[in-house]
Amino acid sequence: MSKAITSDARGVRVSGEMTIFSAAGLKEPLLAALKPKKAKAGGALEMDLSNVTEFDTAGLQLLLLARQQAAAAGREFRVGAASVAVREAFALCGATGLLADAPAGEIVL
Amino acid sequence: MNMDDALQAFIAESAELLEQIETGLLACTQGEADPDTINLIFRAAHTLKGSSGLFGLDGIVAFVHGMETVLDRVRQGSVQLDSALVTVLLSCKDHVAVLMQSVNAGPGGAAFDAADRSGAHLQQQLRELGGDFTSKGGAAAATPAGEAAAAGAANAGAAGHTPADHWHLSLRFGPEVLAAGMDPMSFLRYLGSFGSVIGVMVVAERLPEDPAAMNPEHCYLGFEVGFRTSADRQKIESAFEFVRDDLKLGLLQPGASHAAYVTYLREWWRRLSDEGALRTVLARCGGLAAAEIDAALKPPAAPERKNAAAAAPRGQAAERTVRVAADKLDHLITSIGELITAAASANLLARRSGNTEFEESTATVSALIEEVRESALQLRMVKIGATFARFQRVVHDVARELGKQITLEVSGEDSELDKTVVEQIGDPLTHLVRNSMDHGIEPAEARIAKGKPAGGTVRLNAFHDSGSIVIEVSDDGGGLRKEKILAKAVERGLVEEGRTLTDGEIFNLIFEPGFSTADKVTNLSGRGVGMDVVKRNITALRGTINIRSEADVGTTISIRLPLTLAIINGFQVAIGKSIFVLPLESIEECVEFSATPGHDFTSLRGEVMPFIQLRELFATPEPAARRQSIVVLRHGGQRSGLVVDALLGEFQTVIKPLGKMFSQVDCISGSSILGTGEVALILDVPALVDLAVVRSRDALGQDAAAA
Repeated sequence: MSKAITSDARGVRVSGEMTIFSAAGLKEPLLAALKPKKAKAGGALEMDLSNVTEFDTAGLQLLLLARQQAAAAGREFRVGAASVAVREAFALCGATGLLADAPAGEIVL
Repeated sequence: MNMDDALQAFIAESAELLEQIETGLLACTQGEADPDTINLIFRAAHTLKGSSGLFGLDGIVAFVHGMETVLDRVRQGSVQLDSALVTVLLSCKDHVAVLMQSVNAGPGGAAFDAADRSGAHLQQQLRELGGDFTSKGGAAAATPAGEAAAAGAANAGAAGHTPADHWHLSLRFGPEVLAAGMDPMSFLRYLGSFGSVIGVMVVAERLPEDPAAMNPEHCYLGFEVGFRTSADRQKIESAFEFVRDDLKLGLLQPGASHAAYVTYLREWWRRLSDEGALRTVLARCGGLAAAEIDAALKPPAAPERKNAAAAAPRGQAAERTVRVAADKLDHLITSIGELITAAASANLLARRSGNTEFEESTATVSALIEEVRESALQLRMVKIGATFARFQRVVHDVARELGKQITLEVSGEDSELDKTVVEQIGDPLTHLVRNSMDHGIEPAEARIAKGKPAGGTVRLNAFHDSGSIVIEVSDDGGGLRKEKILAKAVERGLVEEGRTLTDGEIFNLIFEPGFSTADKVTNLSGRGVGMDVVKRNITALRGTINIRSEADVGTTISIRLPLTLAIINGFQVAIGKSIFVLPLESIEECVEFSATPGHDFTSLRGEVMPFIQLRELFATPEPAARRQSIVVLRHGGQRSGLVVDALLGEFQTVIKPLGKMFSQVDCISGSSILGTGEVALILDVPALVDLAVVRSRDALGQDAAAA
């Protein structure tokens, strides 16, 4: 099995589940992947969630934590690509504003 | 819901709207013509028009349109809302009520047409006072129902209220929810199964700022949810049953005003300073337009409204209620009455059987029945406020007729009493209020001469007092003229000449049939019919009536009524083999009987207390028991004892009225069937207390004379 979190200059890619079952293991790698040294400081951080198979509240929470950290570092945060599971969950809890292709004005608090 | 049900609901709603219009208009006559009240009246008229249009009641649409046009002008300030206009608008409101009634009888009927024609006259008056609106008003009969319907729908927004099926839910999950294997999102999914989720906002404000402090297996999130459903509060709450201990759930009811919405959200959000967040929630979950949000977020600059009556309809709108036909409730209460009697009999059998388990189970059943009885009676309890509110109109109209300036002050509107009592108290109260206005309040010149303000005041007050409700009608008029009443009573042979009577006895004379001291008979009162009828009505409700009056200061008539007519908590006592029931609320305590032989009073902790021997009162033949007890009764500030053989304890008592034949029997107010099938008489405590007090006073008088 490949690593759940990989990152490159453009952003962070998450694969597999983003649920309560994986949350504990995902938090540290995710935060590490966000560290400015991995990407150009100040640039936008794009999440690729197209390989996320399952997504629940714990996953959403991690994503919001990542966004908070990005904001603290002065970086824009958006979800560039998302799987059906992620999109469905976003739609359910009014978080579609996280998606990069969301219409302007869709905010997630 | 078929069309007929919808029409019935509309008729009920329109009655409320008409009431709002009336209350608002009356508030305006008391110098309260603030924009809020006028808006309220306008909106009520507007909604009425909109809903009438939905049912194709074009006659009503056209008529209300005229009212609405004038009210709109008042709102814009181009027409002054003076007392003449108020009077015409009140008549218009009455006319609409008549139209509504004829709708109920069947639209398009002859009655409807007749009522419709009589409306033309009112329209003319409106036009004279409120400016011509023929260009629209006359042609409004042809207003397409569609337009009116659109107006009705738009009204929900204009009125600044959320739609009637729109709930707002605030969910804050506890940290352990995720670890417990529950996904908060799944609850949102479940909500979709019995309603539609309008909008959701994730609330992440509890997410720790320090990522190290964030435990990925703890839940930090919450949701704000706009939810449309026909389900009730209980159903919504039950959706979260699995996380009940781990969830803070907030519910804002449908139909809340936008201002209430904002207040609610501010309470739920820590970051209340963040207006952007609030705006987003209002837009997404509340479906509010930007302009509405602006209006709702405006600081509440509107001054606290002084007139509670005008504010009331808005409060009522937020209350979620179910309409139930009154006879269904009555039937329920009758059944519960039968149930209590049946349970008492089961209890008795259980005790006789000596089977402990059986006894325990009947005891549980009895306790449950008591709860059911309480809540069933509670269902029938209504606030007296609605009855009082009607009197604003009565006072307004009568004051005009009499040419007096009289205001009505109302207090204690929240006191509750049984609907059946409320229904029957209206007429006697109306009579008393009219009487106060006609005879009590002096003409303005007389008042000024006495150094009183020219405008008189009539007050209605209600409060609870030891298991009864007391309703007071008072005025600041001239008071009852004792000499005149006495002279009239002597003339009519009601009282022997030269007898001295107490003030209370003199005042009570006005309840004698055909008694009137009015110098002139007016259209309203003074024809000598009425006060005796009032008294009879009150007595029929197991109530009492009492007068306090002081010359030139005013008169207060207090009516004391039982809270309910159906079922009471009774206390059973026995004389020999006969069982009697006393209402538990009227009992202060029970003490051992001790008295100096030959005296009708005893000492209760150093105070003299008169008593009555129930055995003597009812001439029971059996000899007295060796140990007797005194039940200490209290009524209207007076105490007296009742000597009985045995105290049997507390029982629920279903009151059965006595036959006509026994209606003249003193000291008995009803009967009840015991578990054994025997009949127990319910004692009339006010009568007993009065009797004891009178007897002891007479005895004291004789003692004094002898000495």
